[in-house]
Amino acid sequence: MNFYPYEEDSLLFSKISARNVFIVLVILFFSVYIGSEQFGYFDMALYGYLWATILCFVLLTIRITSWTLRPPTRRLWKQGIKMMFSAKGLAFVLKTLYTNIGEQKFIRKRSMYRWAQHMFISWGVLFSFAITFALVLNWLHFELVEPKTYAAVVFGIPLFRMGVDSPLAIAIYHGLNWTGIATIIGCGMALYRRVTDEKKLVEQSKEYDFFPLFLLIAISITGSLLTVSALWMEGAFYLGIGLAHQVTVIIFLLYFPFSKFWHLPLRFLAVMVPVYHSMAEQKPCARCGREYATVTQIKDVQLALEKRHLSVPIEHTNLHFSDMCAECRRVSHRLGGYGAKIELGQAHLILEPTGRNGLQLKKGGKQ
Amino acid sequence: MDKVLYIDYERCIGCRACVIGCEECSGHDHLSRMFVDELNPGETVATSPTPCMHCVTPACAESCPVQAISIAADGTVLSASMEKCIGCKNCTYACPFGIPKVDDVKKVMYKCDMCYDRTSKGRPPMCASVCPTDTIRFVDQSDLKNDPPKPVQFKWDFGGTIIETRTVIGLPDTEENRFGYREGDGVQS
Ligand code: HEM
Ligand code: SF4
Ligand code: SF4
Repeated sequence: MNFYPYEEDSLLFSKISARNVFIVLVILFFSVYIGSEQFGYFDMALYGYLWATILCFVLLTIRITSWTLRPPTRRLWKQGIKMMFSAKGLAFVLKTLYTNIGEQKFIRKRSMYRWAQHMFISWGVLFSFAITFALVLNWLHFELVEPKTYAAVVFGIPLFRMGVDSPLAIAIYHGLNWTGIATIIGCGMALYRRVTDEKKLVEQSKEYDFFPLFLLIAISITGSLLTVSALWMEGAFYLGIGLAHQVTVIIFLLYFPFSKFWHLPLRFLAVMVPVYHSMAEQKPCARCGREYATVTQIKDVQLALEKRHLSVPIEHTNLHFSDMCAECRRVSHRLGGYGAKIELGQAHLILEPTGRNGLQLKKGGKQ
Repeated sequence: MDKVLYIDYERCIGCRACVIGCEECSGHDHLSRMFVDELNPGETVATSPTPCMHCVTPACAESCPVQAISIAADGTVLSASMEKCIGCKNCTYACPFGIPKVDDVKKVMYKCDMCYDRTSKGRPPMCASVCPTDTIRFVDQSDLKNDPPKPVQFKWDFGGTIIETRTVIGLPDTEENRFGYREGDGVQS
């Protein structure tokens, strides 16, 4: 374990977190204020959800702050954002956003089954939350403008009208049921794989891998039961089911930033990676001359390691081990073990072991 | 008993059984995490296997922007988490020993996890099980480090940065030179 603190200023994290939480709360407050038309439309049935949602946003903000303060994270975000300022970079990022987050093509390459499972879970949950947050925070509400016509009002602006029992209206009322069913299918598939492929998933645990799936299933089932109760059971057990649903959703909201679900924010950084790899100059290995990385990334990694007191220099040179490709790093250690000289053909240097298991410039080793 | 990998690389004959054995381990998705490198191709036939060194302060994990690399309770540095890893390759550059690899299509890093399913149950990792020359062994950590059979490496000083590793490397015997190769008289590098 590396016990060095991330920043020199031990209060930095608290200060930045406080600032970010404040900004998020102000934006939330105004979005609710505008959405509810100066608090005119407020669905009191959603009051519990509202507070849990606000708390979830606060916790997420703190977790994201702590994550983005880590040197490698900060660096990669900065590089990605910088590249988005060019038209080519922006187009690249938008394309990756679609293939990586939208279509999740890379999971399909891992396995078709895992891809289908994850499309059901992620899009099921993302759409559910889009609808839930919109309603809970009053960004969206429906007003009865004529006896049989609703107006959908988004941030106080009436967007469109629809008949109370038009197909569109029914699709919207039941939106959460469809997304719930998708989530149940996806989680069922994931559970099935976790049990049948137990031997391959060597690191899985009950708390980290199984609990999130059960939680999503519990949310989706209690949610769907609300509809079942309302449509076919004349509202029997409605209050009880409603309470159970509310409890599961609140657990989810508070558990989200500190669990497996935390990968959702992380995945947005993945969108920066292809542009980061392709839009910078290639770098040759100091020993064999093969191109193995970009100049920018090697600099970024060396900087991040330096901040963590983990620099790996080659002594008496300007080079670090990361200036060599992975294979040359492995071979150099072994040649050093034999006491052999190590020729860095590309950098025109000759190295020798330091006697402390590191490497250094051989006397007169500059060619 | 706390066991670790011991690599006595002057014994390596380059058969690559460890590379294939690694591929077959159930948690490894048929991607080998073992390397057998030719040390001086064209000059000698010397080769060496390299598994992860399982650093006590892993540079790979420190360089990962999404904290996808975790350390098991027994000190094993695990492969990247499937849902976190974004395939950025920082770890492949940060590692002083050249271990992690990234599958560019599946967008995930994979590396030696000492066959976690086996070692967490006390069984030796695949590479150690299949190595025909005892180059790779799975031995008690404190015995090996306190009373090594020959000069070994497990504490590395890189210009003041001290990195201690669980995996131990046995240094070749360059005096008697019974295995491997020696620079100088016979073979010129
Ligand atoms: C849309 C952006 C998202 C991306 C790119 C993403 C990415 C991933 C990846 C790569 C995995 C590992 C899959 C594998 O290799 O089998 C995964 C697993 C998982 N994701 Fe996501 N995820 C996203 C959103 C979500 C959301 C919104 C949820 C639900 C809250 C979610 C829930 C899960 C669960 C439960 C697993 C584990 C499945 C299992 O048990 O195997 N993901 N995700
Ligand atoms: S490739 Fe994956 S494990 Fe390696 S640093 Fe990047 S995100 Fe982390
Ligand atoms: S040897 Fe490399 S991959 Fe293994 S723990 Fe150390 S830094 Fe990580």
